[in-house]
Amino acid sequence: MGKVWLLAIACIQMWGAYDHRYVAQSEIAASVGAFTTPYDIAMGVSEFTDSTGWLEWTDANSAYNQDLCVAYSIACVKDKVPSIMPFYGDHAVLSIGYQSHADEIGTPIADNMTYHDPDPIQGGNLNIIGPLLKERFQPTNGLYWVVVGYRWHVYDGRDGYNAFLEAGGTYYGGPLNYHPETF
Amino acid sequence: MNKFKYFFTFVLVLSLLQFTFAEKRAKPLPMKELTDPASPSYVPYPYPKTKQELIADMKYAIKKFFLPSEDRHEVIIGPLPGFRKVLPNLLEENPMYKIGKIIKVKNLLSRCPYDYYWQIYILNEDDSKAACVVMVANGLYGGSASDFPKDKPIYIKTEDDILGDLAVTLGRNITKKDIKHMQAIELPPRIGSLFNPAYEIKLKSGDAYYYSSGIKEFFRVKEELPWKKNKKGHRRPCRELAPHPEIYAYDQINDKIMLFEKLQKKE
Repeated sequence: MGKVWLLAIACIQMWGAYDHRYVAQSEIAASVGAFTTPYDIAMGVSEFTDSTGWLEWTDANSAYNQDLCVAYSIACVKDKVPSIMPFYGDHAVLSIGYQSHADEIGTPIADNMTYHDPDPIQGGNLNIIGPLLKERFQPTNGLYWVVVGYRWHVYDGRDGYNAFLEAGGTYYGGPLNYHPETF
Repeated sequence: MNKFKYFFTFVLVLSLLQFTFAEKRAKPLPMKELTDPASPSYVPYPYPKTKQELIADMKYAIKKFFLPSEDRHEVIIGPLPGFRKVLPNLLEENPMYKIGKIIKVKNLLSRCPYDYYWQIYILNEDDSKAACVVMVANGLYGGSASDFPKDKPIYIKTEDDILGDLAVTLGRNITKKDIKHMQAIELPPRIGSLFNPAYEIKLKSGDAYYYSSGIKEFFRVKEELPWKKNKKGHRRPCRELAPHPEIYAYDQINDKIMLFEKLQKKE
């Protein structure tokens, strides 16, 4: 997995602000590094927000895998937790809203996504339609990935998160695909 | 003639190879899906050709996505974004906002089926930017941006403004007569983004300059790097090839990364 660029740090910062935790980007960078890997971003989410962050990824070998990765982000946002998504391969944005519909097997498919871009010139709130989202949500080294968090884990702290993982938990009952060593 | 036949054959094979390896754009939606009112991709005017048709398509999309509906599955964290107020207001008889400049933006993303999209600026009463809407070439809604800083209103630059700024930067007079080609272009990730495209300015002299409306600087291409896919169909992450986000952009159609340098203003 390649490095993504430092604007992911701003995404962690914005996510933290949703939880009323205001941290300087320099502090986040000092912890997770200025040029971060997706795994580091997930660790940064755990450290600087009220959610436990982790990585969901799929092989970038089918359109469905891309939909599935977006679905992880939708599930996260439905739980009122933001999610970090790479754009253009090495830029990152913070997803905060979705309009969606379910496909024939129940996977939520994004009709459009509302998000923040760390680049302030873009505007405070941005919205992108599903097909354009799929054009810009591009894989890194052959993997689609998103950083998600789940607030109920926070209620039970790290123990709850570990229990969730031990139970094979992941979104949509799919196989547990969290392999930190891969990154 | 005979002695050149191997040369011609070589050139022919080379051009065919290049054609084969070049990444093609994704397939566009079939016309049937755009014209069938029962289709989720229906638009009143497929491939709008006039300003009126484009605006009609935009208003259709606003009704579809942003008017209250009980059927829609939607979640947003926090307060409703500004575009949810600005865009529905355009459907009213006397809207608070006005439709401003519309520009055609070229893109170099192979996943985009079309080589351009439309950007529509929605303005406040004082002509500052209230929102902007991206419309796909086929007439479908693409996206929108809003909630710009209130303390620093953004005014949209005209092509004349940009040429004036370029003349100041280069320290010499530049008029429209010197321009061979000027076009808005998406140059991801930073030089020109979806909602803040860059301007590509090609002069008759052969020089080419790029104005980033996001960074508000002029650039020129310093170097072009090949960016081919590997056997698995993946490319190397751009950042392994280009160290700083503000000075590179990629072109998936022509398989290259462009490294830029900022133009220094002439005193």
